[in-house]
Amino acid sequence: MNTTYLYLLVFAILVGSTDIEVNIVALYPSASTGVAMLFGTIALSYGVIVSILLGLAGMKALLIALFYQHLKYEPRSLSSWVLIGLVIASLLMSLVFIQLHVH
Amino acid sequence: MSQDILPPRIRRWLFTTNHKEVGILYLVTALFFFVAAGLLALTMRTQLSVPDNHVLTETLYNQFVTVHGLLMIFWVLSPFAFGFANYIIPLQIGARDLAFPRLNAMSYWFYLFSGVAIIMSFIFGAPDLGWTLYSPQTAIQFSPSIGLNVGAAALILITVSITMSSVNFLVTMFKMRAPGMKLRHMPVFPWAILVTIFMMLYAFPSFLAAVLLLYVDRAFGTFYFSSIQGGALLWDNVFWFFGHPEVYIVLFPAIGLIADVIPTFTRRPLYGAKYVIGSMIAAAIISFIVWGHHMFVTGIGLTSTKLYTVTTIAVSLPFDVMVIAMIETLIKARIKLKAAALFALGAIALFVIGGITGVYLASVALDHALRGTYFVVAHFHYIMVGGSIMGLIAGLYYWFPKFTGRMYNETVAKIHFVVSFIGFNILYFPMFLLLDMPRRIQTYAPDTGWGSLNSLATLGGFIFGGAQVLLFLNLFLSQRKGLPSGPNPWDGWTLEWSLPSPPPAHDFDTIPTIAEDGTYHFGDSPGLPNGAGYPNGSKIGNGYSHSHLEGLSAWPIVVAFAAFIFFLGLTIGQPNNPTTPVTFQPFWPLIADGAILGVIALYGYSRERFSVHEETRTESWPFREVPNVKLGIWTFLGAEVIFFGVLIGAYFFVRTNSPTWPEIGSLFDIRNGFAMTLVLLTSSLTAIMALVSAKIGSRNGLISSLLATFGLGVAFLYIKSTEWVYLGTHGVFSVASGLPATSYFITTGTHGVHVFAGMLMTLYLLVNSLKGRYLKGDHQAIEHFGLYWHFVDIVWVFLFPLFYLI
Repeated sequence: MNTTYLYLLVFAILVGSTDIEVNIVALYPSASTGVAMLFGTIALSYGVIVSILLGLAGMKALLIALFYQHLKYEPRSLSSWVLIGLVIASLLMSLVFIQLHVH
Repeated sequence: MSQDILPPRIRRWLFTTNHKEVGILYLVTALFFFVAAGLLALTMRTQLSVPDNHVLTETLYNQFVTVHGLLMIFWVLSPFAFGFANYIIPLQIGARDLAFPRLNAMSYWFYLFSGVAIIMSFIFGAPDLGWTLYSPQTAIQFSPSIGLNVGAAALILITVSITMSSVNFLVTMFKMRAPGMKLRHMPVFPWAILVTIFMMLYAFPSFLAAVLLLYVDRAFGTFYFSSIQGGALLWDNVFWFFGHPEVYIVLFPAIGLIADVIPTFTRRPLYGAKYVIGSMIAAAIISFIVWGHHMFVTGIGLTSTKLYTVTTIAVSLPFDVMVIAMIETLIKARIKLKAAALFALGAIALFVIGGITGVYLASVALDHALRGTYFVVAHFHYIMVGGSIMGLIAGLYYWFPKFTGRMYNETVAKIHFVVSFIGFNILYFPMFLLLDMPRRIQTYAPDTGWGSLNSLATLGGFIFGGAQVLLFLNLFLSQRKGLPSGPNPWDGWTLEWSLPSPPPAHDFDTIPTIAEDGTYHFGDSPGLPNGAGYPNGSKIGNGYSHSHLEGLSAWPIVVAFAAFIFFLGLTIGQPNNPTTPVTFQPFWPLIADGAILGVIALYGYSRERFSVHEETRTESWPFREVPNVKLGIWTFLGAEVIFFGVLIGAYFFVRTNSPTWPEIGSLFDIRNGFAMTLVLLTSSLTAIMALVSAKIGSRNGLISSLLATFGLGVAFLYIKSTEWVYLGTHGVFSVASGLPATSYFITTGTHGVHVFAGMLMTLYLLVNSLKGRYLKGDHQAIEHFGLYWHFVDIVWVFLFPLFYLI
């Protein structure tokens, strides 16, 4: 695929997922019992919505890193370098939260 | 910038970018701070020598304790080690300099000016609450002195210095090793520095974020550490997340150095060298999951307590391996007891005592009894001074002939060791027995029974301090009148000993190659087996050379000075006794001067014609195909991930601890967040299109893409500032109206500063692209800018849902 088209496609996905993020807020249980859909009313729990939002944010970040920062095309050593760094950083951050939760 | 108006000698030291000279600058400055911190300690010991003593007031005593600790940890131990690292590591790995020489010089000047700032803090009432800066004591109502703000500025500056240095060393060691030098061929000292750098890259951004939050709490009246939801526990977590690895950050270079010294003087390779390196890596990883043992009494819960007990005991195991390896190397060896070897042996002995007493503190029951007492003071001084400083002094004697080309007086050096060792133990061992004496008390009553042990400790302090006079006199006189040392007075095994003493500015006439078995080869000469010594220096071949007056740059010192006065301006304008919670009153003239000078200096820095000599053949696994600058930027971005991670972590911390939080959409208009997200995502697209245009040689495409990126940056900041102004002026909330406001303004504000920095870069690229630069093969700058800009975009991708949608 032509790189320009690829970048535009990534951009479209990024914008589309941002749109989903904004609209998913309507599914909060406190927001007047959810949204009327074809088969009834949908109201997701707070935890599920937060997970979806953070998952979408993670996906967007990954897309930017892979295609705009070109990690997908870099030597494996560099992408592994970044990945290992992120995994370690995430684990360390998680520990803080686990400790907080236990506390 | 014209540098010729200054005499060559001054020019050389002010503007040098040569790694050896920068290394000497680091060493001399670290020793200066060592003396300063030592004098503070001796005054404190004088105060404590007898009961009911009043040499120092309580406030002054607390200031001395705090600045002594800060100076020793941040301005002495690590910079001392990095002085050696600067000088020695390029020589040991067969490189001619560090990857980014000007950045290296800038790191040094940031370090120097940060040290000036911390000492200047005495003018404004120095920090007086211990080097751990525990919250909520740092709150403005408990510590109104602006000296603490100046101290915070100093800590921010030195953290910037350390981050630049870490990136530089990492790229150098991964990318610039001599041909054939696999990672496994690197001596233990570079390995120790490599592991240290990894820890620095994870630990210091956390500390930077913590100090930033501390500063904004004090300057803007935010609530991170002065609220119940954040408070002491938040500070403890972010501080000790950095603080415990910091112990190993200051220790590992000394261990690596000792691991180089002992084989040289025993004429035997280090026993189990690869296990020593493996142990360092293991200890480095575990060091990040032990921080909770500093918080046993904060009520972190039984599960956490158990976890941290186990990890703290576990972290001692790799150190056992290191010590056993060194002892095994010594068994039945005919060791040459030169001063360097004596200090190395002394350091091991003292470190063992410090390490064992540290394991006691892993026990929750003992920790409850011993924490906050002089037992802990003794324990960490056996590690920090006994293990680290003694080890670093071993390095000073070991490499002094290499630095100067002259021998020091061995007899005086041995006397220095004996007196130091005895003085050290008289100073610190009695503190183990002061089990019930609290730390950081200014004086005590006669009936406590602490008097005699304190008198003994003070006597030891003066013996230990006096012994260091021998060191300075010996080295000062020897560098002028000592006997010539020749290239390799110790029959050393590592590459630096193959060079003349001191080495020429360019280090190697011909870069050596390393055979599979680890032997070194110079040009066409036969390989020199390990242990045979290097009789001829590197006078083989007629390759590259340059003089000490080449490669000078004035910009590093100017950039660092600009940052120094900028931060000083941010801190010294505030009143000493604030009556209102919001106290930010900067000294605008200094801020303006710093900002203007900084922009000019950075522009000059980027425009300067400064060529870095890059070898065509280097050993650079695993990053053979990755350019140096790109690896450096990715490494820097890694540090940024931790920095923002801590800011976001602090937000989570206070939010999950808060019983209530404003409803979604009740504070911030989601449409604003959505608009800003779209703007930034679009700017990422235009940034990548700028790269595409540069690669295909489209000047118009490049200019219009950069212009669009800049314009979108302006749009983002415009929407952001409109939102801020709206929130502030409509009474919705201000920065000081509670934790939701605190976390929102500070986190998004920090991100906004990053956007602004990116816009300045865009502007610079735009100006150059108008002159026809960056087209076709010259597009690297656009690519590197993009890495940063996309990272800023990624951060916002997370901030948007965190602040606007959940």
